Amino acid sequence: MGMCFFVKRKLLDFAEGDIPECQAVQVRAHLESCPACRGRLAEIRRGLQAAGLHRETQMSEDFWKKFDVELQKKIFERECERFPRTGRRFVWVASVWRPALIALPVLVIMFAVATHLRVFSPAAREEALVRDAAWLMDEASDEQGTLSSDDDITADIEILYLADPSAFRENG
Amino acid sequence: MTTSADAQRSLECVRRFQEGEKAAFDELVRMHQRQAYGFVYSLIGNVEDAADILQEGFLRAYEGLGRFRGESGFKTWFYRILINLTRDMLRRRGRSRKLFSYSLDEEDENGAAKSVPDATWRPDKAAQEHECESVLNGALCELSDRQREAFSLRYFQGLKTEEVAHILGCGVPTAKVHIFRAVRHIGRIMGPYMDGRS
Ligand SMILES: [Zn+2]
Repeated sequence: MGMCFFVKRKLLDFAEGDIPECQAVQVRAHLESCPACRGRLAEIRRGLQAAGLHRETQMSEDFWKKFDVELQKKIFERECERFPRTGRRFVWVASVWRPALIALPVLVIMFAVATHLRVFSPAAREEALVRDAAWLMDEASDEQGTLSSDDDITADIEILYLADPSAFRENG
Repeated sequence: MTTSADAQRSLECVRRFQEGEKAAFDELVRMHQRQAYGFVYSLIGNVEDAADILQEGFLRAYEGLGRFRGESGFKTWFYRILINLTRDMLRRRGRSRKLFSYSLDEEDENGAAKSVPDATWRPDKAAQEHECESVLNGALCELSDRQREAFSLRYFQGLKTEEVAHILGCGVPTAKVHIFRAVRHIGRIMGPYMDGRS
């Protein structure tokens, strides 16, 4: 009985010739003395033979043409369901480019916000006022016929600004 | 049967598809559709249902390929989808629709290539072949779903037991038991026909 259990588990491999020789010897020896296992082996051999009768179901070329058209149609419909506004085009943007596509508008918005903050921050406004004042002083010195160096102008402005920043704002 | 060259080609198509090349998916469909159809048909036994399942299988593959990481071959991954869809359909229908329930002539009307040139051409051998195939289909119907799946994958698709186990999502010993029981049952049913042939 114990040997039947062992042989039964090996019968399919034995019938297919996919068993180590040492085990094949044991199976052969058991088969000689066991009609039940011989019966099982016969059934397995017939089953394998029957499997060989199977023919792949061959469909006509016309069937496959219709199949392909139908599949393409369904793929398109599914894409329209998944991406109703962008349709299929977005799907076909290479996956590696998709993060870049998403990142681009975000970067533009971030840049716009940063620029906005920089232009309208108090520090930026003061910087702009100082720059305007420098031009005014430069023009004044031109009218007087004296040419001031950049360093002179900057130093003058700094002194003026530190003495009274509100004067710059008022003078605009 | 899938050779390692076919498997490599499939994975190459998957990679190209993931990079956005649409044509690569069409290539995958062309590579696998006929064999996959034969597989599904062997499980469900109905021309239209097999076509529906295959269509849905390719749609799921299309949608899921972006997440496919290539841990298994494409075929293994795809056949798992097909098996799940087939099981769903059989469950939904509660097996009300008998497997392999149509005649060969109906099959022709639905697009299957004719096995015989015309209805009058029935020499003994062709009739015998036809009868054997009908009995084989009948025997397949009597198997449990797992046994039929395992048998079809092993002998109709020519996969190794390890691959069968992988597709069925079970261990190799379990797959072996399914195959063993299926082969034995088919051998029992087909016995009289096989004895006559050998
Ligand atoms: Zn025995």
